[in-house]
Amino acid sequence: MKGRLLKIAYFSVPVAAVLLSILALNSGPLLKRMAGPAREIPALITEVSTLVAADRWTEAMDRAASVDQRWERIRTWLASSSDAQDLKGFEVALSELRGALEATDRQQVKIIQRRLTAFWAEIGS
Amino acid sequence: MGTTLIVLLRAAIAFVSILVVCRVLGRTQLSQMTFFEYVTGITIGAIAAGITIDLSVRPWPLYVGLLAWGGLTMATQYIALKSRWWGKMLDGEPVVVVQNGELLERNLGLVRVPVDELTSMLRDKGVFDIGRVEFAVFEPSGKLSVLKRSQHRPVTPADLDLPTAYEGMGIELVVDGEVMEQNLRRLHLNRAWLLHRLREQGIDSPEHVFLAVLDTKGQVYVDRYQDRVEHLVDMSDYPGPN
Repeated sequence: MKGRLLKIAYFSVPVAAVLLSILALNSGPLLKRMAGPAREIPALITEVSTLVAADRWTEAMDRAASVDQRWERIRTWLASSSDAQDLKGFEVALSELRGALEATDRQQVKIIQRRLTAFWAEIGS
Repeated sequence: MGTTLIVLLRAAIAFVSILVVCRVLGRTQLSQMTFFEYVTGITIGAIAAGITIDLSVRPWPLYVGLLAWGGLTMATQYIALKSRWWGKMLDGEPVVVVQNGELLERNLGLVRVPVDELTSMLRDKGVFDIGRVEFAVFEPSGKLSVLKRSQHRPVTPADLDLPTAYEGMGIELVVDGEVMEQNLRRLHLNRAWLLHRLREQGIDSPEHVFLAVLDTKGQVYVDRYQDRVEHLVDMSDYPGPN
């Protein structure tokens, strides 16, 4: 019985290791689709843009801060399966968004919102 | 900190995956490596390094590349096993470079081995006079096989018609303090028998044994953890690290 179990483990452990590796390397898209902070980010980015259009700058800044917080929570997980340039691009765009909100520059917010959405689509895909 | 964590995670993934790929590909990667297998090994290693430290690209395409190279190598190995023609295409053929003491220059040109390198390889095989070689064959693995002329080969018991006993291979009974139950069962022996044989040598438990091997004559060779050598020979002539 023990020998049989060891034989099964001999084949199943390497297969499981490869499957786990595949899962880890594709965790970015999975994480983005699952419920939780990753899934809320695109909705929050759109909300920032909508609030700016309605001249509700303070609320827009709160939403941008929420994006920052959620991003920090998932960054490492996304990084294990993503291109470093996309991650950097998203982070730079987040900083630009804060700047545009502080300057109350509606046009810039719109441009940055598009950029953030584009980077978000690229991350882990 | 983030980058360190990512590299550690990717290193673990690449390490485990390359371990699996190498085990699947078998031992030829190490022992009878042909030039093709050598290149494959380097490529797989480079991809694994890319997965670990190249953070500028997504690791998934690299991982697919790693699995693809592993799969293609396995497929070519299988095809080479099944088809002799493909085997020759992939691995090449042995080439005779010395025959009856004569250097075959044309064949040497085919394998692109300079004569200096050939004589060096012959010396490595204990041949200092090409005239003593009956055949020297350049193998696809890059190694040289040498058959000396019969009058220059060492005499064997068969040459002298001397009877010899079967020697066989020793079977491990204890390794690193652990009894190899499976080997005992194969030999139709048991733990009680082993303990009795160990006691004969003044050992009361297998835990004190580093290695115990049973030879085909029924003798048990035992090496204890505690070495009984009074004066250890120290080969080192340098006080620093080796």
